[in-house]
Amino acid sequence: MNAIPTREDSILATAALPVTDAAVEPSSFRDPGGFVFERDGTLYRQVNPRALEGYTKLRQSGLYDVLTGDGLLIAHTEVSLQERMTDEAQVILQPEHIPFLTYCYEWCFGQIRDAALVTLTIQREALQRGLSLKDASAYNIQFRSGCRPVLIDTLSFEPYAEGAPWVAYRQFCQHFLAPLALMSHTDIRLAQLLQPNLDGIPLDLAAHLLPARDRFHASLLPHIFLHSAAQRRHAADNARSDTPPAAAGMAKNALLGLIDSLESGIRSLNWRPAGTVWGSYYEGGTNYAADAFEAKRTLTAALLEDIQPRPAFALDFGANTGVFSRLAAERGIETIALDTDPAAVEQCYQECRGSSRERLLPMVQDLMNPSPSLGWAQSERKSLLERCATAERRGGSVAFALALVHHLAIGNNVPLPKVAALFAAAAEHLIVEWVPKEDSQVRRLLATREDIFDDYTRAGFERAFCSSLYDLVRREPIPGTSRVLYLLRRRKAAGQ
Amino acid sequence: MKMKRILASRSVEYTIAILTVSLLATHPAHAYLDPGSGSYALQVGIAGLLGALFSLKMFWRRLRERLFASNRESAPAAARNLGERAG
Repeated sequence: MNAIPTREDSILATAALPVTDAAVEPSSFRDPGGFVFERDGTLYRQVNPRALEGYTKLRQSGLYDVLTGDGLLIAHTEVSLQERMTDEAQVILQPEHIPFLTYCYEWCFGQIRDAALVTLTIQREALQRGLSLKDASAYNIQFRSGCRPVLIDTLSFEPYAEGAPWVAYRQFCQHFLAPLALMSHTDIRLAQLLQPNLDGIPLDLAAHLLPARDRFHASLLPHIFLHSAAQRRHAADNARSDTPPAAAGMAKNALLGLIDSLESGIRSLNWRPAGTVWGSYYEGGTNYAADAFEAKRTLTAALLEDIQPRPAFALDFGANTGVFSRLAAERGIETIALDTDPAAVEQCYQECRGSSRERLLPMVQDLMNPSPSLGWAQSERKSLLERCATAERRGGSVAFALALVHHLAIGNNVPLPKVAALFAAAAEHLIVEWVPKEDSQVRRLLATREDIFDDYTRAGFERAFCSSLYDLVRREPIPGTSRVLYLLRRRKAAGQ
Repeated sequence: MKMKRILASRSVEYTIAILTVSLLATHPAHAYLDPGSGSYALQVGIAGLLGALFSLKMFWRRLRERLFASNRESAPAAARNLGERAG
């Protein structure tokens, strides 16, 4: 198991089984220039000969210092070659840790937009120093604590060859411009097209779905409509002939013009959350009075303080705009605020960006259909529950399910034991709110349908949550309401 | 608004004209990522227009800065105009 493969075998070996006690990150196989692997809980990036020139120039040109100084590129330390995974390693990097991975199909509009702008800023800065991004994948961007987008692929840079067009232009348009245009001009929910289309939204599909007036948009015309037409035309050319196409040049000034045009296009696309049920949930008050709301906040904070040792992660399911998520984030806990409504997530994100709030990361997530494992061998993009499990291993976790269970149990017919099992799979601690049938929110859910939920009682709730899956740590009624807050700890054998 | 539309329609004409002339010219790809020959062709096709517009924009920006001696380019990196440094 500890044998190091030959140079010829190394690329194949890294894509197959680990040759040491380390494991290659399953999504890190496309670029032969290097790969990411994990050993003893630490993440490393191996630089292979093919990427050495680009990496060396990244360091020597000063680009690395500028980008990491501005927080646009992930920082790393070079470690001993003894940490290498295969024999061809030239350099081994230990990058800064990203607490919780999110993917572009889980981002709100503002997150995709900021990720796009960061990618273009990096490309422009790279061109000034004789480098260029060789890919522009949205999966190369992650959000650090405080909602700050950062490029995580240090090996994305290659030396810029004078006259060469941008090799990642198609990918940028598919991963960023097309989704943003569709979200802004057609329907915000079309971001979901990113999930089945892991290499971005095909441009012909985007052209088909965008309104006709976008054919006169100064950026969408060339980068979506004409781009799509050129792809179609050249697909036919390629099918007719296998002779290499004639060489043609693209001056650096034109390349900077391309980046500028893309940036203008991205900046012209906007979306303001308005009019959705959840995005304005707290506006004008909820069904309970302000003092009851404050009491719930105080109690939630107290239950959170009861968890010792303090967990490293909090997962606020049904977080809305993240009002309660902030209780965890303010205590230094890496907090993920998950909600199904893109408007609520957008509000949370913008607030987080505006206030530079640390340790809070919002994401769009439908608990009735959480992100699955996707991509090659179903291991390229991790499912939500896999990532929750990883977070728990890295320092413990707590899930919040505040004013949520009735939506799952009554709004979506999920039996209470199944609701409890899902949370038990997500985190070891749970702060959950019981909302009885006499509560106005539940009455609203039952107003237009038959009440078939005989088990939806407090006794039924406690049977489902406190019997086999969890131990009850603390139970507190919320003053001024008929609701109850519970702090539960998952039993050793339960959940996973 | 009207001006914007005129500009947009002119950019359409330029783009189509340049695209028609040079649509077949592409670079062979050396990267691990397939850039797509259509995407290459489009970039090369609109390169002249983009380069000209970019030069014009930079010229106008420099002129405006000289005239008004304003220094509003001290924003943080993400908003920094890196194109300026190219000049």
